[in-house]
Amino acid sequence: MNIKKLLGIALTSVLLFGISFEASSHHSFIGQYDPEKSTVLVGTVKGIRWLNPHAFFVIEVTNEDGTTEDWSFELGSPNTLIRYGWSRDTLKVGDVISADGYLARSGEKLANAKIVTLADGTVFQAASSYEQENQ
Amino acid sequence: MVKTIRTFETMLFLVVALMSSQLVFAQGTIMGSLIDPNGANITGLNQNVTLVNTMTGEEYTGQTTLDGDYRITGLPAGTYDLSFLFRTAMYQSYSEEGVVIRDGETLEHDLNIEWSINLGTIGDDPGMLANDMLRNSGDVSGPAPRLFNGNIDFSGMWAIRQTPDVPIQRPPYQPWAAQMNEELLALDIQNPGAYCLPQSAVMTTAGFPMQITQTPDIMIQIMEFVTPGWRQIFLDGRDFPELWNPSWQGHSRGHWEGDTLVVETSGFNEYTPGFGIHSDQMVVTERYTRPERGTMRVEITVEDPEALTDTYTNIREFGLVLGEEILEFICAEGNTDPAQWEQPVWKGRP
Repeated sequence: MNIKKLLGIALTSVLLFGISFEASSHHSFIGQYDPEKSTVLVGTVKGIRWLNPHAFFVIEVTNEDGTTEDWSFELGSPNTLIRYGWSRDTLKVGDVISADGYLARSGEKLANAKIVTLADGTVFQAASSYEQENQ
Repeated sequence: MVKTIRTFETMLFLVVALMSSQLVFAQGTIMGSLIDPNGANITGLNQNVTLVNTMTGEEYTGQTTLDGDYRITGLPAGTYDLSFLFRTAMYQSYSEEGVVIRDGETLEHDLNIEWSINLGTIGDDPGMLANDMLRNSGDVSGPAPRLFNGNIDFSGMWAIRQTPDVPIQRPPYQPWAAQMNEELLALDIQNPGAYCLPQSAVMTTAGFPMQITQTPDIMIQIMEFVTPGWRQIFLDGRDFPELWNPSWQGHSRGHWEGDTLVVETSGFNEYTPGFGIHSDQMVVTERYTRPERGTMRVEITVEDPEALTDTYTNIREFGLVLGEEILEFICAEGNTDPAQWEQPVWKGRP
């Protein structure tokens, strides 16, 4: 087995088992997230859960005091995301991205993802479906 | 006499010229962009912004551009009610009263559209997905295709077309059902789709991309994003089975009335969703027509003598999708919220 394949397996393990993803359910967002409380965070991608009914990613955010915390962001279905140019390989562990969303009502470090800016400057957001298709 | 006629002609010319110039000036323009709460233009839509003159009742419309702008010219000066109707999980409809258009002026007027229930989550709007699929389908013109036996062929992939000006009919409940519905709503529990259960008793009301495959004897509907994701409609004249367990999607049998396929579904359990409070005696009748290649229309009539005081009918319009296919959707693969296993099993009742 070559190095590339070994690394691939190792990374997959990290993605699936090394990160604590928030439990997820297929639900209405307005019930779980507060439209009055938004956040914009910049962080390093630690993991992606590319599963139906909702994909998630986790970023490690460094606070001003130097401490770090993990934040989860919830997306829609990979079935829809892929039609707008976002695949399971779009986010890579180690990428520095920014994510903008509404905070979970529960107080967990969790938000829905309404704007995501990738490491290469690509912006994903709801309104730009037409632009994403045509990029 | 000639001098009088000439004077009259001159005066008439001047009056007409003056009136014409008044008409030219007595018109205005409104233009702007559809802006979402992120501050971005809402792109990809070809929907109408509508202005209704509050004095005359005249209606003026302008279609949004794919870049998210709109412009309506030739508006007589006056006050207008403005609306932009678009039913999706992403965006709410917009309406505003008291928009003033002045003579010869251009009013720059952006429409700030609010999020609907999905709060702008990327990749979570079947309504925008349907709109984008239809827009990308290209030329779907032509007559409706037929099977070798002459039946209209509804085969193809279909996506919901926006008809926001068509009002939604609500169930005319009997008092016990109305009260039960209020109690259920007050509990604010999740749609059974949140637990990977069926989203609607009758797939055509669920609003997701759908593939139809039809032969003379059977129609198979496959829908993405829902459980079980398939439905069979028997066209071979069979009766409702003698032995039947009340089920989430019931038993569907269709027959032809000219070019209309009439599908009757019965045998539902009393908790299947999509039709509010109902009994296991509910019967849903769909009437499918395909007036042209690119359009399918389904009228959905509900009767339930135990729960309703009358029947009611809603209409769904679908557009043909080319160049796409239904993708696999295994709901349970990522549906790991322990709460779903702790809640009582969905029973459709409080």
